Amino acid sequence: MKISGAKKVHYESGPNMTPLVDVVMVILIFLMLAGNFGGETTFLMSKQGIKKSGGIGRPLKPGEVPDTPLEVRVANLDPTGNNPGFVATGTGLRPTHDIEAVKSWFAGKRAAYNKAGTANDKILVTLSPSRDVKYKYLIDVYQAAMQAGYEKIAFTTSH
Amino acid sequence: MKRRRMPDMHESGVNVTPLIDIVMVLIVFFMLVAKIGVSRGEDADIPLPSAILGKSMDSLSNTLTLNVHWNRNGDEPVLDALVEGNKRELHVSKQYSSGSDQELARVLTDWRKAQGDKANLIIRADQDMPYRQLELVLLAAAQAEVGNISYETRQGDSSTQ
Repeated sequence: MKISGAKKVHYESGPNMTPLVDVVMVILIFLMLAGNFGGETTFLMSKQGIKKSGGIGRPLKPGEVPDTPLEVRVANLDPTGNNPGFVATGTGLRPTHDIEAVKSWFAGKRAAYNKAGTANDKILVTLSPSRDVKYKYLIDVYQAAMQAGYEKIAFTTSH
Repeated sequence: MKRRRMPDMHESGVNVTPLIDIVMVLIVFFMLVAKIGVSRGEDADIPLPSAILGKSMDSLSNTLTLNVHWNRNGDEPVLDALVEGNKRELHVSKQYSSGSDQELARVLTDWRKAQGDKANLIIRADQDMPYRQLELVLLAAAQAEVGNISYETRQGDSSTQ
């Protein structure tokens, strides 16, 4: 005797999503690994480059007034290079290895120039490094000048 | 009267549709944010000086990244850059004189002429290298009349603090 049970009901479950999830996960992991993350670098931008000692970098245009120069000399604190640090000197700046003192000096000079009617964009700060001074100290002094509001900062050379 | 049995109950399992929506959003996000295949030819091994005033660059087009390695055995830095899609070693001589034929100056001149006024040279130099080596690079850039120079730094406090 055949006993028939309730009619079997078939539910429409739709397409199987599991493989789609797997593929999407693989693509996601690929993008996470292939992208460049971390260690973002920044840039100190300059339009001045380098100035040769004893002269400006380019001929003046007719009627152009040369920029007011402000020189700061930078050297290693220890000439042998064994001890870290730099020493900076300038007109009115006694030899110092304190970056805050350099910043204060820059700010004071700028204020004096502004008071005399010289705008920030007409002052050219020239960093005169010694041959062996480390690049990172120059960046620190460069930054100090930027923080003081100078717009034109250049390196010099003895060539 | 015909009695109808209640259909059997089936467990449908976890509904994965919202999961796919979220994953799709994440994929779109990473596709837009990640820079895949974009290389300036920068050398990640060069220890950069730190700076707090550095700015990010909106566009890296019209730029040339110059890797400046500290040469501990001489006065001339070791240079390389991605020029026209190829990584090249470049040379600059310490016997610099204005107008002399310097490979670096020549390459920079050709590049600057191709890019125009927007040419931007990115200098990626070792933070401990002496200035006398960097000076040669700056002189070559001046000879090539490169107007915009950017010193690449890492975000951080002053190196002297």
